[in-house]
This record gives sequence, structure tokens and C-alpha cells, in this order.
Amino acid sequence: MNINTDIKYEPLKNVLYALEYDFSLLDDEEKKQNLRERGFDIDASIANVKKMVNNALQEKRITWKEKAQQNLVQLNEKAGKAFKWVNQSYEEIEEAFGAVVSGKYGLQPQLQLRGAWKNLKELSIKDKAAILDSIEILKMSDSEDEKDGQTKI
Amino acid sequence: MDDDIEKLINEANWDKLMPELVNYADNLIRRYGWRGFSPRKGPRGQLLANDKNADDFSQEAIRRLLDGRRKWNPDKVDLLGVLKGIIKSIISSELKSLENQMLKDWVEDPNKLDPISKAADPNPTTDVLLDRKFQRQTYEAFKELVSNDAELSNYLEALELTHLPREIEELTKGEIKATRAYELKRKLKSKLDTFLTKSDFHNNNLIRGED
Repeated sequence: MNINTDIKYEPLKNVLYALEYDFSLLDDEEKKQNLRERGFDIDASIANVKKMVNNALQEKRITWKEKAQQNLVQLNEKAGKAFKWVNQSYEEIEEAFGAVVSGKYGLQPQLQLRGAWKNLKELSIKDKAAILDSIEILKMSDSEDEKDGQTKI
Repeated sequence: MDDDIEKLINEANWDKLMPELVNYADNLIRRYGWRGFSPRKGPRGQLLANDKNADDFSQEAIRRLLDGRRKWNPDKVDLLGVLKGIIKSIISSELKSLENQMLKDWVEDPNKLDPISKAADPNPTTDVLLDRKFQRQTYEAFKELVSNDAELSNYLEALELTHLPREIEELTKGEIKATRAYELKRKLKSKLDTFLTKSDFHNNNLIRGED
């Protein structure tokens, strides 16, 4: 950042440059001493800036945390509205689960299931219902044009 | 604030950056003294622009970066560079209205252009001419002020040509030893600051274009 451009009269520009240039040649402590001689409490300034930066960054982290908590509340609200498979009959759960495994409701749920459990036949009906509930919630979160009320895979 | 900017600010070495920023802002305020603005002196001798010193401007620049009022692209400029830019902008806008008022009061006389103005820039704008004329007059007045101190006067004239102590010793034919440079520089800075903070000089003589 060149401030020389502010001075148009050459002899004066040279004098000001001469008076300013050697600051860059000083070591850290000499620079502070130079500023103290010019009336600045540079140590207090540095401490103040560090505090200001820490406060700002901490505030940002708190904001992020609050946002995450709000998202969690929203997710829980969605979960409360989602269709509950655990309350359905054995046959209905088996049928829906079979549909997910066969890929009828998309490749993603199908692959996730196959990746997580090598032998899907060993899963209990309760586990299958719980998996279907999770898929319901995920589908609700993904859906941007989701309407109020229950949805079903 | 983006995460990468937050990381850079968090990792910044403020012990190194702050002295650079305060020095920059202080020099900038001083330079405004040569553009028609008359700074004041604070309680510990710091130069003030609208009652704020270089430290205030530096902290304000950091505050504006932190709260997002000022943007930063780290790919284009480093942290020191962006903060210097913000400082310059803050000081400039603080003093802009005052400077405009002073320029308005200036009576331009195209017949009185000095040769140096013409030589340095073939197509200078009106602002440049006014700045140059004002700076030359102010500087000559300062030289007149220190003319009773032969050593300082000699040193000042040498500084117009070089900032290197050894060259100054040569130029003054050994009258000003390189070892005296530091002391003379301190003395000169102090005299300049006192001179610039005398607002009656700016207001009564130079702004009205009196030679």
C-alpha cells in the first residue's frame, strides 16, 4: 500500500520517505519502542486487538452452535411428524422393507441397506421398522417441497 | 466470515501486525497534514485526525474486517495489505469533507503554475496542481522555520536528495556525520509534527493561496 502518491511535491516526498523508511529496518522491539516515543501504548493496543479477535471468533462459534441446535430441533419436529413403521403390522413392514431392498424406492436406500448389513434376512422385524422410520425422516429432510403431515416411502 | 478467513485471522501474529498498522496510519495522518488538513496532537503527542489517533483507526479497521463490513480476498492481498487499505479508506472518508471544503476555498490561478508542477506530470489534474502548490508552499514555510538551525536546515536539504546517512555525510562534505543522522531525524520529526499541528498556519496563510 503506497502512500507516497499523496505527496505531489517531489522534495517533500523525498524528505517524508527518508523520515519513514527506516521503520521497516527496525526489529520488533525497536518498532514498539519507536511507537511508544510517538505516544502510543502499543502493548495495550496489541492486547486489545487480540481480545477483540478472540471475542469475535468466539461469538461466531456460539452462533454456529445455536444454528446446529436449531437444526436439531427442526429435525426432531420432522421426526415427530414422520410415518411410524413400528406401529404397523408384520406384513406391512416386510412388504415395505422388501420394496426398499429391491430398489423400488431408489438406488440410494437400497445400496445403504446392502452396505450396512451383509445378511438382511437376519434382521428382526423391529430393526426393519426402525430402518424404515429412519428412511422416512431422511426423505422428509431431503424433500424441499415437503408438506405438513405424514409421508410414506 | 468464511472459515478460511477466520483461520487466517485466528493465526495472525498481531504482535507483528499492529505496530505496522499503527505506524502506517500515523504516517498517513501526517501526510494529510501536507494536503491541507491540520492534525491535532493527543495527550501523549500522537497526531489526531478528527480526535482519533492511528491506534483508533487501526483497531477500527480490524473491527470492520471481523464484523464483515469489509470483505477480504486472501488470494489477492495479505492481511496486512487489506487492513492498510481499510485504514486508508477510513481516514480518507473521515477527512474528505474537510478536504473538499479546503479545496473549494482555494483560488486557482493558472498563471502561477510553478515549473516543478509542469515537469513532474505532463497532464496534472487540478487537484494535483493544488496539492503540489500547497505542499510546496507549506514545505518552504517549514524550511524557513528551521533556517535558524544551520545543522537541521542542512540535513533537511540533504534529505531531499537521499535518505542514506553515508550519502548525507558526503553531500554535506562531512558536516553531518552518519552517526548524527538518528538524532537529527528525531529532532526533525518532532519539529515537523509541531509545525503541522499549528492549524492557524494552514487556515490563515496557505488555504487562501497567499505566497
